[in-house]
Amino acid sequence: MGISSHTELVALNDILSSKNALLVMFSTQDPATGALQYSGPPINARGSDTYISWSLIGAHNVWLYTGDLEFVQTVWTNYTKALAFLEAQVDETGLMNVPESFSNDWGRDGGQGHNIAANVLLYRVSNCETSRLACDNFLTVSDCSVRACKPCGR
Amino acid sequence: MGDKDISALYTTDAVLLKKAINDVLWDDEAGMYRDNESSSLHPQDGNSMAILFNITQSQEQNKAVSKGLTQFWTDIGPLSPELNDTIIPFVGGFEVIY
Repeated sequence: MGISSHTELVALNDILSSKNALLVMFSTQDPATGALQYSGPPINARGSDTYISWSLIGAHNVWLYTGDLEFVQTVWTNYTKALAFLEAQVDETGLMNVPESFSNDWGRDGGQGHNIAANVLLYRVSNCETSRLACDNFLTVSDCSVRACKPCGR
Repeated sequence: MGDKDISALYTTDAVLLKKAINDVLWDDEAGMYRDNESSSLHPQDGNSMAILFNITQSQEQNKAVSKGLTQFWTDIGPLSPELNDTIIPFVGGFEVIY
């Protein structure tokens, strides 16, 4: 999702396959915890905080490139529950403390604990882009996107 | 959707998280982010994405991380210290686009 959703758009001027893939990932969400799976069917692996973040970033990318609010509305409850699953892992240090059982990633060693990559990805999910997405239904509040993104700066 | 409170909440969370990442994981001596607070490893993925996703707080930090990552460069690609110095195109992609 971090590479392919962008390259898909550039190469094909289309992002339908990302959207379809994400709809599948949200459909297999754990209803008890809110966790998304690590891979789609038929493997259906579990146990990666970073891949959950990538799925949420991918959903943002689909919205960003298409403005497809119907898609966002379809998955919004799933999205917020998955994000809540991740944010529940933030401890007193202010960082997400990745449990061993959710430390799978692209194959790297040492994904557990206060891992930098996992925390950077959680920031990407919870930063102003998601706030913007949440704001999108009340654009009549003219300062919404400005206020939501101001602290993020750049 | 369209929930003002949730939007403000996520923004607050993000501000606190960015601060915590810089407070706990920035290694000023190395000019890079540590893999975790008890690690001496400075990973390619976390450092590349820290610039790409705006975790860094200054141009100086961007320059330091960017320079730090060059220590892993070889003639055929950058090594990822977080996986036994293997060349990982997926991670290299983030270093290229930041």
